[in-house]
Amino acid sequence: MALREKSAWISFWTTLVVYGAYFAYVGQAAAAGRPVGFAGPLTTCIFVLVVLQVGLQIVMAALNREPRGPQDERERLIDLTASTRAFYVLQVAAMGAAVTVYFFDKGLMANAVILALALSELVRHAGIVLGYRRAC
Amino acid sequence: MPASSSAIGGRAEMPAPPPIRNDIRRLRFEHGEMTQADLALRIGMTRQTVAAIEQGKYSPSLEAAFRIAQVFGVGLDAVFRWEG
Repeated sequence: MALREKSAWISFWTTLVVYGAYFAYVGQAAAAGRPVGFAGPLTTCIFVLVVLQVGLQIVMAALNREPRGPQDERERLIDLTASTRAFYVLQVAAMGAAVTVYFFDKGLMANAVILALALSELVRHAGIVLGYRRAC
Repeated sequence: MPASSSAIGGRAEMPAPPPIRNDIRRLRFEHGEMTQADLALRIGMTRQTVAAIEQGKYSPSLEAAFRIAQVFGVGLDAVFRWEG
């Protein structure tokens, strides 16, 4: 498996798990009618995500035996294709988040924006993995 | 009326392009059993990309194709064939 594919797997799973836990918390709070704390939980979520990703990427790089170099043309193409797909998801999800202003408070709207970002990141990482799996 | 003008932009009826075949695997073995990693190093790509090109899963850019041909000291048509 290519180094950058491993990296995309790490990013995908850490994003899924950490944001999954965060939005499970937000969903429970919203369903129970509690005010959705934004700053504290989100700061924790981002901190955990950064620590996990950096830590795992360092471990993976240390264990890697293949030579590392700049991205080649196929890897750039995989990256661009995945980013384009993620951008479409971001556009749709951001529009969805904007609509929440009519139904929910600003805390939930802010979380909807974060959800849009998280979804687009997941699609980007999944797209990179898919690109490597399909060879391009 | 020509058939192509009935489709929007004339693109809908275009058949899928035939695959680009290559002889990289044979050329590698004829050049001292060069490994994919060796070739990748010489053309500035990853081993996985060379493997994808060999398997016909990825068509390289013209520049990369010329670099591959240069490594083997042959012309482009000795490495790649477009079976159109």
